[in-house]
Amino acid sequence: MADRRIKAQRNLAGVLLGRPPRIALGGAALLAAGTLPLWLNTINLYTAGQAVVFAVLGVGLMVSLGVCRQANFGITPYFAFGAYGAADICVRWHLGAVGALLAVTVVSGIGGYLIGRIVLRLRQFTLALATFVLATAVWEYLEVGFPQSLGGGDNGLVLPTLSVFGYSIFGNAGYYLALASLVVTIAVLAIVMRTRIGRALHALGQDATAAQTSGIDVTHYGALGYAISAAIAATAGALFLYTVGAITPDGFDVGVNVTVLLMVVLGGLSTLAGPVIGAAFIVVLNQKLESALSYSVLIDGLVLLAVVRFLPDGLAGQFVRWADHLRGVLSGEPREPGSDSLDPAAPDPLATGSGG
Amino acid sequence: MSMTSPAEPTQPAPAAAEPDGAPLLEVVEITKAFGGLIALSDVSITVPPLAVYSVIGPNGSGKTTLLNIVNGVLRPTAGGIKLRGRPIERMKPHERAKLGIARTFQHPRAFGGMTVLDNVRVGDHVSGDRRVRLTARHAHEEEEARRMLDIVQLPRRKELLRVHSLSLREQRAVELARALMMRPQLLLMDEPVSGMDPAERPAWIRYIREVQTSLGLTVVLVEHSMKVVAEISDWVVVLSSGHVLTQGTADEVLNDPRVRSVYIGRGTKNA
Amino acid sequence: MTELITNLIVGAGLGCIYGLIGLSFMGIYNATGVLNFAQGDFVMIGAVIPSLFITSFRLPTALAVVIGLATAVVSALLLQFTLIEPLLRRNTRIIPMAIGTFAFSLVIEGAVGGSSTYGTVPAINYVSALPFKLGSVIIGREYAIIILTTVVLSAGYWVLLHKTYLGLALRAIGSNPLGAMSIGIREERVRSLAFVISALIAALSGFLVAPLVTAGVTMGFPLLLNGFVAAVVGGMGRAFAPLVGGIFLGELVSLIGAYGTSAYSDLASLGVLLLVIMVRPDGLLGTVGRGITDS
Repeated sequence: MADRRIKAQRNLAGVLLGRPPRIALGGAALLAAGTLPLWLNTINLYTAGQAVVFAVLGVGLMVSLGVCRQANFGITPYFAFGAYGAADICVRWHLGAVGALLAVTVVSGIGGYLIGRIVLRLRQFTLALATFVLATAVWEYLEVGFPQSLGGGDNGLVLPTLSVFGYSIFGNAGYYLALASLVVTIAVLAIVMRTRIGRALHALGQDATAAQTSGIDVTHYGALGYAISAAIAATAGALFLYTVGAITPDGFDVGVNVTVLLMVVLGGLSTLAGPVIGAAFIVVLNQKLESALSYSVLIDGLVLLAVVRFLPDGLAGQFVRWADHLRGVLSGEPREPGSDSLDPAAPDPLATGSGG
Repeated sequence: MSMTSPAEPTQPAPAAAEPDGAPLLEVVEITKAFGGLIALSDVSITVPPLAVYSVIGPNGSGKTTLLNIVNGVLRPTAGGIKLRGRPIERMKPHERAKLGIARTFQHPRAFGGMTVLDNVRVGDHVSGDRRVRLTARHAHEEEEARRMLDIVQLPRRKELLRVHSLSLREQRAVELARALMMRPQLLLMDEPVSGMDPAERPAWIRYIREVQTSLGLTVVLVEHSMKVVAEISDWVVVLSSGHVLTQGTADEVLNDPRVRSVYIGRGTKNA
Repeated sequence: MTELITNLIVGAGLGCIYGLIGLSFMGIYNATGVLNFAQGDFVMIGAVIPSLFITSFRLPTALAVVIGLATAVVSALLLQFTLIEPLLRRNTRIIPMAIGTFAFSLVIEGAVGGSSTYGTVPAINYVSALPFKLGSVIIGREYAIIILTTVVLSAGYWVLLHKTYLGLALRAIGSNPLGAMSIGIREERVRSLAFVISALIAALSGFLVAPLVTAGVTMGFPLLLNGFVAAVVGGMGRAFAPLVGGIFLGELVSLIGAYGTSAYSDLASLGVLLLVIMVRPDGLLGTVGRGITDS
């Protein structure tokens, strides 16, 4: 009898705070985003476009950093590859915007897998350091060593006119392409996470040893997670090229690397919505702080520090936590403290290895 | 958690004990040194199929190290491991998992951020290579996972909860369900009742035996308290400071004075 | 020949700096398990702060150095109590920890640099005497001071670790925090000690190296990288390991810079790191206690 009452309560709570409302929220946001070009001026639309592009980049990084818990501090090389690669493909092979986008995504994924198999032999901090240095090195190379004809050095690269399904990319078409890519990426990831592969990636991030013991080839799946991040980063890179129109190596410097890290940590590494929220927040914040840009390093640092210290789940994660908690309260189920989220800072009963 | 018999097994027990009596697991002269520290020295154990073997010893005797070596998490310094006669000491843990070795840990290592059901479904990963049965298997894999939950007596309504919100006992059950989902031949268990209320231990231990019998598994159990496992063990191996001190039936070992002396000073309640 | 010897001495000097930074870095890691991304910024503080105070306020060098060291110590303690302690209490995993120290390093860089995070500061010459002359080799006295200081500090650290009670406490909480607590060692206080010593060594090395490289707000990171590699190459946990590893690395960097191109020295360090990890993860002298391959 009590069972049935509990069930009823849970249904109500589930309806109020469970999956359907979140999807609805997402749908509403999408609708709003889709109509932005109608009521934003060009400059603000540009900002919105940047937010979308970095949301894609953030979502990509989240797979490696959030799901697989790899200390991936250097996603910008793949971002740069996407941008420069797409430019090269468009110019040389006349593949069209969408074709170039897909091409760089695939190539980056393959390259990412191969690199991942090597690089991931490093442990956490060394991996963080190594990926960070690698990212810096790639930027330096773009500044200095990369042939000028392909966009290296200060001159950078300017995209010639390009069209998507008949619309010039420099108009709203670029924005819509970015938005569509974001939606597709999120949808694909959401589906993948429900499959065997998704569970394997998630498991290896949670506890690599236990995953190994359960039959998951951690080397292969680790590289796969890294590759997925690399692929999505390249997609973001191509979109970056399309929405900005001209790229220089400065667009992929250490600052950008830090910014992306900041976005995903701020937004939250445990949900797909997290990086999107983080990107929107940071891009808008940076725009507002244009005048105080000179202090951006300090501000970035303080915000990141505050998030790590007080909001380990990020904004989205915190929302999910609150919603789950509320749902638990409403449905009358006794809840253990510190429950349902991928809190990287939650007391980890698995943190200590077995003794004796 | 009430202790009733496990639900009906979903598959028939594997073809009964090998007619030729070949051992399932052979640990052959395993030595493991960590720098200057010798954790295991010339340890040899032979485990026949469908048996429950307990490896006991005081803390520090090398029991968990032994399990780690059988499992693949550690490489031995010397010696070999054979599964059904096949040498596996060079194989990685996931390859051994695919051969049918499953394992639980002293502190349950379930995937905290994943749901109970997803945790168990991970156990199906070992069937990845068997392409012939791929489609048929995967279609029922989710239901199979639910049946595993029934076997370890976790209520189905908890299946969508994240594991880190469960109690220790429930996390152990999830870990076990995940291991059973692998349809292993050999189940390695590291101190399966560690951290449990002493009053509940005998029941859980007996329950493990029931699961072992009904699913046709071979179990190698590591424990530091012999009293706990005496009832269900077919054979007991006593480790002390990395060597095999003695082995025999539970009665023989219980009455062996050497075993008692090894435990003196660690509290006779453990003897 | 002259050039080769000069390069070798420069390499040794650089290497000693890497060794000092590695020592400071390793000190924190061994005592706390924390890998401090902000370590390079303590070095930077030692280089930049004194220079700022000398040029802006015309303070005597010694006083400026003291202020620089004090700033570094304060920053380190700030890092410990605003970030590290709360995160340790929560059993935070290593990625958020690393992100946290990384964020702190940004804060330091932003605070010191203010509006010009890409600027450099004028170097302070703490040596007024003329350079040494050995035959035809001309070498600045700074190098002698650096090498001497490094050897002295390494030896001092060794003495601290192995001959004092404090050192014992440091080693204890590094390898077995629970055990250490149960015999009455106050973890937090010992950690503070580790942070303070580490910050002092880092800042001092910053001051010493300032005239030899361009000192700017962003100088910290490449030095951190090299310091870290020095500690790993030498072997984590041993007092003299960073010195040994540092010299090895310093010579390498110096020779590459002289006979190759200096643009890729970061990559060279990284390459050395990868090589060491794959071939001999315990370093040249062997690791004691927590190594970097333990997750």
